[in-house]
Amino acid sequence: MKFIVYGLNHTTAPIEVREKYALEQDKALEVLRALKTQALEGVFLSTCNRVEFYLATETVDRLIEETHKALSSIYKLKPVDVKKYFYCYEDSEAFYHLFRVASSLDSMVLGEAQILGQVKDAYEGSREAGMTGVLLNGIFSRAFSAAKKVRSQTEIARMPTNISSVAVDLAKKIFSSLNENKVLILGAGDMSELTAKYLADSGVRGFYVANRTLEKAKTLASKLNGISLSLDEGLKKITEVDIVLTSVGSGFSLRKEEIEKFIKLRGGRSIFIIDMGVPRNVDSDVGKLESVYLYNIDNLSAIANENRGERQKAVEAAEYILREEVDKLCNWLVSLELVPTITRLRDRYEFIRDAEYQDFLDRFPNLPEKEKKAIERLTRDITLKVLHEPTVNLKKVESKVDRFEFARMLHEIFSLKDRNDIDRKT
Amino acid sequence: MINILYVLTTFFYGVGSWFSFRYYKTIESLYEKKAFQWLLIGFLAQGITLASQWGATGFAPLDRIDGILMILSFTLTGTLIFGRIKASVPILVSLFLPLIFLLSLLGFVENIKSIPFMDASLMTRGMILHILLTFFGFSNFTVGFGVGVAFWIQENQLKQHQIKSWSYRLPALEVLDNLTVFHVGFGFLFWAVGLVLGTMQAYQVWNRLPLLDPKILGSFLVLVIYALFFVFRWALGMRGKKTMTLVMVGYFLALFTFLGVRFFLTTQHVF
Repeated sequence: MKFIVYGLNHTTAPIEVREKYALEQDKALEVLRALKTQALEGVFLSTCNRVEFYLATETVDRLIEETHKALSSIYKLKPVDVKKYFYCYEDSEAFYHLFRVASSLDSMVLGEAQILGQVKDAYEGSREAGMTGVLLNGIFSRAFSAAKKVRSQTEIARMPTNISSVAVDLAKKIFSSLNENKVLILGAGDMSELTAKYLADSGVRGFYVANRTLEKAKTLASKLNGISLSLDEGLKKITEVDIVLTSVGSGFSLRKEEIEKFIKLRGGRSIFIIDMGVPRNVDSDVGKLESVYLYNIDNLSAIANENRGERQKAVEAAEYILREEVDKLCNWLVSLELVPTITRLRDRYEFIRDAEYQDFLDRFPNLPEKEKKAIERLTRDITLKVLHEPTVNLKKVESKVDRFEFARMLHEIFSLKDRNDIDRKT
Repeated sequence: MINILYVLTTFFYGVGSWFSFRYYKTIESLYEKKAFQWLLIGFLAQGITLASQWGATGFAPLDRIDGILMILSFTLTGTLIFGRIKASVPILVSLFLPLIFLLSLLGFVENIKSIPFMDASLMTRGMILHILLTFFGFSNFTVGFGVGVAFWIQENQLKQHQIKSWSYRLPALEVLDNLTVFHVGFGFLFWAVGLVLGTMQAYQVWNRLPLLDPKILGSFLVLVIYALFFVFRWALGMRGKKTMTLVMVGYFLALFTFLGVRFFLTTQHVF
């Protein structure tokens, strides 16, 4: 049985092609059901950047043909038009691809967090519809743990890469809990609104919105459940807020002397000023004041760029982890094959028999050599006879999926280990 | 028996240190929990070790280098457990566990030599309490200093707009600031009470307080510096690097008073 990935993504197909294949989950299941005769198990993943089928099959070429037929019948597309955009990976290449996708190494934005959830949803949808079995369950669960490992052991997803997220992240590096922080927004521009939303998502509950036009302040304040103020009233709030977000148009500038008088009244509490204005709204000398952390749009962009670079640097480490995980997965699959399972089952019984026999010899050290050999032969014969019938029955199982399932069960029931492990124990 | 307990304690801290490194590398909370669990096990084993020694001799093993090192790592561990439970800052255990392991290892190595350097008759209750309290004070100053350094680094990066990837392991400035105040505060308290008891001991043993003894002078100066830290913070509202500088100066002086004086100056103190 082969595991294949068949699909297209942002690197192989333009958006006009991708959007044609963006299927809803119920339609995707319809396609998978149509492939049931060829694909023994299947998962369909559809995101804005990729459309992929993960399939377990014994007939790769026929399955690909059937897939195109099924898609064409749903979308009334000509199969020949789009085939060039599709790729197909088999077995270890396919595992590696799935692991890369789940770990967001294959994403347009490296390290983005959503893809793992999307892969999980796709898998759950197929599992609930009974489209997955022992093979895909095993592969996907390993893909999820590999992705988790990559996210936790590398810098791939640790640092934010967009300006608003960087600003929120910096706030978290200054304050212990954003839930207790208050934010003053000076100027109700789009950039302020976006960053304020990120802050609200991170737990900030207290917002003051001050703007030259009070109406605009009221609109944004209502979106954030905040309080609207005039620009002059807003400035006075600097004494009590923790974060100041400014993006007032030209002609507005906060000089060091102006801010210093407010800072002095804060009793040394930290204040984070995010200057989103172009031209800048806050004099750069303000950043030199004690407990004031001032960031303008260039500073935030520079950090975002640097973080992108850090993520890129982490790719090598992430790929190393994934290669290791793919090796483990391949070993697991080999272990589920029939012959190794029977061998391990025999090794296990032989290990128990031998241990008991040695224990017996220790208890009766004076036993004549002839009797020792007779007992050893007797125990060995019993073991072989006990194993004979299960072995024959196991070989009779025709369906490969059932064989996998039986083999997996035997592994669990008898705690079957690698032969080397048994050797080490002895 | 004591030797086995020494080995076990060192081993437990060693395992904890390994988990600390793993945590530092991966930031997986599981490793931090494991490190903390091993720290607790090590603390328990060390408590039993010290109690056994105390039971055998009738006084805390402060008359020997190994005992000093063991008690220092014990007080440091106690301080760390207290700080970890109070502030719930995961990186704290990972930062200090290797140091505790090192102290414990040195204690074990010194234990093999087993040479007492202090007259057992001096080991009165007051003396033991004086030493233990100053040890707890010093341990708190150590943790406060470590956290202060982390604050310094974090603040510097934030001010310079140069955020290094590894600094994402550090907690927020506010947390570091509160934790520094917490440990310096407790350190100050223990150190001050320890000094009062030490003064009483001095009058008992020498009939006077040799104020110019470098250890005594240094200890009082440490108190003055940390007192200034609190005055600047609470009375003048100063924060950030300036106050953290005082924490560092205070700690280096405490370190010199604690260890350096014995090696570089003349003191009437045995240790």
